[in-house]
Amino acid sequence: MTMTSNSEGEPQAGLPQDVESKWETGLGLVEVLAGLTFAAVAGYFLIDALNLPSSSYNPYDAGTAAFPNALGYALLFCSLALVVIGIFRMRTGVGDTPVTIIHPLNITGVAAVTVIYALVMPYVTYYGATIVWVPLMLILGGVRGWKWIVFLTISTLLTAYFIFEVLLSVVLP
Amino acid sequence: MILEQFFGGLDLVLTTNSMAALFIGILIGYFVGAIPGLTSSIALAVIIPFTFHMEPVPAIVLMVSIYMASEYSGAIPAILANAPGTPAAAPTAFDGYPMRLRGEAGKALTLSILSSGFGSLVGTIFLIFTAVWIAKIAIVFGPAEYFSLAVLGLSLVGVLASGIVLKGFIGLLFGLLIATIGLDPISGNTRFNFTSDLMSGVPLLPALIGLFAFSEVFFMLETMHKKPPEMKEAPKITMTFGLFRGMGFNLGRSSVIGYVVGVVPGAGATIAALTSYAEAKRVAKDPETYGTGNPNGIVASECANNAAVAGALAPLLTLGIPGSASTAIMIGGLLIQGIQPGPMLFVENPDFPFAIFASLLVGLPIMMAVGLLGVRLWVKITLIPIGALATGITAICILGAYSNENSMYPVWIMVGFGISGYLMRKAEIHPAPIVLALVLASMMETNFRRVLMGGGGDPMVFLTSPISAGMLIVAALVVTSPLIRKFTDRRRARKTANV
Repeated sequence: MTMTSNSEGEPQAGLPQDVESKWETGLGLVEVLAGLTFAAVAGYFLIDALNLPSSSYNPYDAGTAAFPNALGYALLFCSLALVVIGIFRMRTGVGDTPVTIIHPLNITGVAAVTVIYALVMPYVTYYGATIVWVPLMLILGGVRGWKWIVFLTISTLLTAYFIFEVLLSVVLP
Repeated sequence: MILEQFFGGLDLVLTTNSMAALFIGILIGYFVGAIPGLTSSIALAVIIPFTFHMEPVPAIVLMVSIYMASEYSGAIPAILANAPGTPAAAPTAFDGYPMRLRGEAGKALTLSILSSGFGSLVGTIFLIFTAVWIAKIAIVFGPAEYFSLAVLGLSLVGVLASGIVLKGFIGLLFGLLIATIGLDPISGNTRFNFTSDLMSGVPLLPALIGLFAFSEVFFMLETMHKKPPEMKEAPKITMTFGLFRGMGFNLGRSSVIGYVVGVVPGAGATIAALTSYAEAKRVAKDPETYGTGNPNGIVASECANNAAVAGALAPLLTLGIPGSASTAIMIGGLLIQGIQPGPMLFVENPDFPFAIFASLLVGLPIMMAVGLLGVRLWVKITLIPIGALATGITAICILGAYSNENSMYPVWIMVGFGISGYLMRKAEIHPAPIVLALVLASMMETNFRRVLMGGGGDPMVFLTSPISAGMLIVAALVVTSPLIRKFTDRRRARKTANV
């Protein structure tokens, strides 16, 4: 896993003013991590399925747990196969193409800001949360100029009010 | 009979609401298609919440017109900036961009829009006749056939949607497993309901919005410092007699290829366009000119990717099996409207599918006019800052998910699927198999268990029906074909090395 530098050799923090920062790793490692995550998901479902009722009113019914169990085992098998493929790639370098996330801090920032926005919204109302969230998103998205930011924030609020509250009768938080 | 039903459908389309939906859908489709990176799937995922309060016909007309128009306009940035607006327009850029460099941008755009129109027309005519025919066959389907059909559809999507079959199947299995959350469709027992909200399962719509629209926001942010494609010149549309001289066979063949490939679940418009382009090049007298600005390349690509849109609607309407990611999202929109696609739709409510067919034909001249007259506008759209676009899309995703149940719970589902969808795509696990699995899981499990209960628990009962057995055999061939191909390729390579 590497954080790259820009052409001047300065470290990149991924903020909007940076030319381009990126986080890079090999496909093999990504596949190992993805495989382990899916294996954990499959394992969780398989363990939870142990508590599901096995009997049914019809003796020939496969039962409530049958389908999740079959899928869980199949997913577990495929996930572990992906882990093996990933390890093979890492060891031999065959097909271990780079996987890049460009502007990783901006992307993490957008995800974090959106999660906080959804958390806060029920307490400070939709409009209260949006008036802060839109400028943050725009800044993280590289939009410059306060006039643009003010214009886009007000446009978002008015559009949400008109389309969702007036036209679609959705009661926003 | 077909003509009578078609006019019934036409009546439903020629209303103020449906025509307004058609026009708005075309504008949205053009907008989305003209921006590289935005696809019809994203537009459909974002637009579905707006259809909650619409009548069924205008709602589906809106969705279909977005789907179609985005394929039309994907060619504009492909020709003018070598940046395909949609993945299916990639082969259009092979010859469209060299034509633009030669100063023939107007001719290339005219060819692309008119070829798109021709492909659409042929695809729609094929759709009308084949859909009725497939629906007639599918009317006799029982639980065994429906289970086998779901298996076949999922196998095709698993194999075709991802570069590596294993990853396609991981996506499928993950989607199927997620779909088991909620109530067991046969016994009514609850399964994996970690919270009370999950009692009715993972809501499909927020999952779709997250996987297709919100995850795309992160990809857009990755390109935020890239310069927008340079399209300063104002192309002049050139309509001349003889524009298509010598291309008649190419037009017909490409449209047929596009439609047939479009029907195959998981194949979609991109594979259709690439297949058609390769075929046009293969049979051409001057294959070396392909890629250097041969108008036949544009015709082959555009005819096929637009005919594929109509093709993808055939399994959706007649069997309830989506042919592409976009049609999987459209199934979500139809289910919200209380419409269950499948053969019974043609029996119980024939006006509805015929309204879709009619909207495709009515929309055709409008799409071509909007495309030819609005080229300068579509060129300007690509100049919208990515950050503003990403913020707007995220805002609509959140509002759309919220309006699904007027609660924050679907918003969390959307955010969760969006972030995980982005990470999965980094691992080359495409969201299309996940969505298809979410849509088809209930049909698969319910019919599987019904057949077993009816057949005394004997799994061989699936092979007693010839249709069901046939579909299962084809599914098995589809799943094993990449392995067989790999094996034969290796053997051939070994033989060549020995020689």
